[in-house]
Amino acid sequence: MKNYLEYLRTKAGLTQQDLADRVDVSRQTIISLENGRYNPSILLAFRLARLFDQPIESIFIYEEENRNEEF
Amino acid sequence: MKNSELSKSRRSLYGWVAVIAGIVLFITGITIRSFIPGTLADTRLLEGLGILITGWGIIPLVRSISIMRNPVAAHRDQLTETDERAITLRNQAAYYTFLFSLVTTSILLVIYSALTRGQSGFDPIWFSLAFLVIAPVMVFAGLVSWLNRS
Repeated sequence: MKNYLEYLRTKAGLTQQDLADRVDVSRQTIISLENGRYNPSILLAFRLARLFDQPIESIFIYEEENRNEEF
Repeated sequence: MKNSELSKSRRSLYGWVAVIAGIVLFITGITIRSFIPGTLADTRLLEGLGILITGWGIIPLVRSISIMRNPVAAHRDQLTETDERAITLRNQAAYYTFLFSLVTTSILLVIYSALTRGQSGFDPIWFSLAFLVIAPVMVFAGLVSWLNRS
């Protein structure tokens, strides 16, 4: 699943650690999310969406062909 | 008092109680063994239990001390532990470890059965291996069914 997390984070002037602290996850999780290697839980997606004041679907782009992709 | 502070003080209290109880058990065991020789019960069990409980209590104590010393680093450590990705990875690793141990034990059971050529009578090694194959599968199936109940 593609996402605009890195763009939104840098735009907000946050480091990966800052973002991790704000949404209560590890920095490694933020790195994996930004690289598209990990799909967040719905709770984490909501926390990120609220933090950036964006709807979830404008941060995370659902792609039909990757629906079976894991982590 | 905030929830996090309450949790910290509870963790610290549990730690101290466990450490003290463990030390008391350990000392009691040693005292009985040293001063009352020839007791029927083996006090090493008491000493072992004391060491176990002390170790169990040290973990929350060390955590509460590290939180007091560096709250930010401690918070990050806690996040690493409770992080959803880390939990997912640990669950996956545990699942593959379970499969690996199951396959290994099954292979050992087959090899052992072949080597002993199905000798009649009670063979504790064969039954132990069979138990190690069957019991985890039953627990796994039971847990999956229980977790699927809703």
